Amino acid sequence: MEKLKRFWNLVPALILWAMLSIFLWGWIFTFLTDTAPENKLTLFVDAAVPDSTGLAVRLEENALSDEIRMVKVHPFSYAMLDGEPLRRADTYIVRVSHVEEYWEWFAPLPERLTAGAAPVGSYQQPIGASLLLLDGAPYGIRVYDAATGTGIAQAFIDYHDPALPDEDYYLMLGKESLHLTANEGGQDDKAILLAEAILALP
Amino acid sequence: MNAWYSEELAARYQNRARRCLWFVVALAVLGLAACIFMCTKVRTGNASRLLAAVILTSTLAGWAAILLIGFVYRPTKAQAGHMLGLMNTEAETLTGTLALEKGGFRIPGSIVVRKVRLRTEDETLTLNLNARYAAKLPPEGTPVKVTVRRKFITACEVIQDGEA
Repeated sequence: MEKLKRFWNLVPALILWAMLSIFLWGWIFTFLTDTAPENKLTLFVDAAVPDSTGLAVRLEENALSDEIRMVKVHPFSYAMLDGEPLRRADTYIVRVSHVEEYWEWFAPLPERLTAGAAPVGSYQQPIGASLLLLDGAPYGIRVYDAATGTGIAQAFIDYHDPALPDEDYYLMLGKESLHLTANEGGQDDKAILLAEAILALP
Repeated sequence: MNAWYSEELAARYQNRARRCLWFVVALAVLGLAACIFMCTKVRTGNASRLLAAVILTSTLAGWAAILLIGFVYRPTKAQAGHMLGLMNTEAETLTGTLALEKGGFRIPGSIVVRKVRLRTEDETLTLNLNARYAAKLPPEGTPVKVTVRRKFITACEVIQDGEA
């Protein structure tokens, strides 16, 4: 009885320690699994990404370098509380009906991505037909075709939103990205490398 | 006389408390080292699994430390402190019959105390007993000789027939 009483007296300390442990290590891991925008590439997807970690790992296989230490993949809902990371993303996959809403965030595609038959993995189609033009300039490459249900990275991205009709999705580059030399303050063209890695996904 | 309190026993309790404290410190250091090691192995692909492993390691090591402190270190240290505090006081020997009262109470930060009534030829005294020794008391009504220090029974001996 005495031991049980003593145990009950310790329960608040045990609960407090478990909570402290979760918060402390969660906070430490946030730092460990993130880095400065200069050293990471980001992809924001305007759809559910059930396996964002798996997709990030696949993209890291092709996109990592001395300067780039990680690739982060998030759904748009990740930026629910703070829109800044979304606005400064390097690449986007966006539902076509939302392009107009966000179009100020997008940069025109460089010729390297639009010229000729860019590698688009198993999602092969004439590149001209898959470009999204805004004011005559190419801004997006179609990565999901709603009419045929074909698209890239369907093992990682769920393009079917039960609340919305099926629509095409386009890969876009970020206007605020630090990894596009055409942008103001852009330091390299790693965003294009990431875009190519995305397009090369089966 | 069965002496329950002695400086040797108090020293043994002190050593046990010290060993327990070192074990807790070693456990904490080991747990922290394991967590830091896992942190160095974090990659994008294993981050969520490693976070769960680190939280589990840290939580279990912390719980083990808390339980050891609560169940071993503190009671042992309290016993040692209580014993040493009484050993330097004057002892008195009394004879009579003992009756253990129900219930007990904890001296804050120290031991659990049970109340005992000692009926001598002249009077009935209320004494204190370290609850740890309650099971060692002879059956109620047995004639005993006890050593008392600051109203705490520190030794007890059953008086054989004819000895009284």
